[in-house]
Amino acid sequence: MATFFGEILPVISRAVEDEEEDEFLEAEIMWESHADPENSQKISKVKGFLDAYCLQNGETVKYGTIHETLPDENSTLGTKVSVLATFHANIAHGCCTVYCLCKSYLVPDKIWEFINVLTSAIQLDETSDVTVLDSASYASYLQCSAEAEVPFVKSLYTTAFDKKNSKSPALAHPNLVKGLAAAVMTHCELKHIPAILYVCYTDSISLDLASVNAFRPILDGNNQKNDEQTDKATNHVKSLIASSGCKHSIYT
Amino acid sequence: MSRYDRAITVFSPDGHLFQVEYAQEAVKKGSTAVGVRGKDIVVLGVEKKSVAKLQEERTVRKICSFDDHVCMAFAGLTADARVLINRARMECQSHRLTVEDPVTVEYITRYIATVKQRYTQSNGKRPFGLSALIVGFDYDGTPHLYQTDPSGTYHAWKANAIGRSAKTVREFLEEKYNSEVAGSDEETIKLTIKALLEVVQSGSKSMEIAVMRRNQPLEMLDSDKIDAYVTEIEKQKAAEAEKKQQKKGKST
Repeated sequence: MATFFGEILPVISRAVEDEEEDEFLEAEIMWESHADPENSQKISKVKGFLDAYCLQNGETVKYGTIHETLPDENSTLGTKVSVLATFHANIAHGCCTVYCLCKSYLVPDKIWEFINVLTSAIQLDETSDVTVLDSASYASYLQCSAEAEVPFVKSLYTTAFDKKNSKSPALAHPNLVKGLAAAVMTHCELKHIPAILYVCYTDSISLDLASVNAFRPILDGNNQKNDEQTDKATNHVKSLIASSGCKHSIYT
Repeated sequence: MSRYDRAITVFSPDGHLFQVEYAQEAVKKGSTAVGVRGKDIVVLGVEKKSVAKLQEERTVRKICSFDDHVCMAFAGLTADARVLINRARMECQSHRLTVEDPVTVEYITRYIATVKQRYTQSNGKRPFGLSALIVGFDYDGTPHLYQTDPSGTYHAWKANAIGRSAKTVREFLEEKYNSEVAGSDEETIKLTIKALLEVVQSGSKSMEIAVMRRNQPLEMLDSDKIDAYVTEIEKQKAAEAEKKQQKKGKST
């Protein structure tokens, strides 16, 4: 149907029987263990922090991924696999710590399916202790008074979490958390799982040392261990920055 | 807010020109540049970004000359800087041919600022996403340091910083700059390097220093000279730290 302005609008007539739609493969999210996928994720501040402080200690092992199978006409099998999250585990002192590194952006309609797969893979329950790390642009931070120097970290926690254990000031109204981090926290609140989210507000668009170090107060440990760890982590972050900073940038 | 931030020519109800403010955010994406004006010298220091292996380093420059006696360091969008630099160079030569005198630093700064302002008041265009530090000597031998920003304003400074972490560097300069430092060429250069070391992650290899003395062309310091200054600065810092320790020991 053509409108007065020359637009062509599709009009579906109910008088005609619909032809069968062509079958197409929907994207499928699934968990796979013992995988070693090619990790081509852009290096985010959270990944930089975990890489530098948690995953480089030699005791942490990568043990699984969540990936998405998408239709792809160009590939041999007609599908392509996109990694959404990788899992690393560290068992020390009788305690298992699971690190889950997720893609920074998931399409909103995939988030809940992802959360279901995630929670069944790592079996979150009321005895679990969940910490979520996220970063956001300082431009999206709403404030009524001058804030401490950027970058800074704010926290948000579930009802089941003991707020005395929070290591940063709470995120004040009307600031919102969106996306995957919000979905994880909502799930934890519904299931009465103690969880805390730390959001780092930064004005840097790429990985930088200041933003990575903003998460450091979250770590536990004695001072001596922290000094050695800090030097090693700083060098690791610098090497990540050097490798990611070589990408062409429009800013000088 | 979104209704007033799409067109440059539209004020918001509370008097903001959001595109200009967003352009100022773009400046913060660029690496740090510092300018210090001495009595007989002007110094520009910039944080050098790492270049890709196959990239020609000399084509990635933050410090450019307009004429023999005036030069600029910028922070922000590289392409916008290139356009402005070309215009400024043309204007410097046009002025020489027309008036038979080299431009004053204020004149060329005002010219650049006027060009920038024009782009904040035109439909279909966006502001220039860069700030500039313009230094040089007038024909009467007076040194100047000016700063321009995307809105088209310009001001004279004794010392200033632009780009990422500019606030930290400016606070350092406010603390350390005085007439004694400005009176000595060596101390002015050291102050610029010290200011950059506050924010530069990797030390002397990540900075470029440009020095202009009265009636002399712009001189880019070799990395050996910068290393020598950095070593001297570190020795001074260590000596000062030791003095403080001794004072503390005596007082207790």
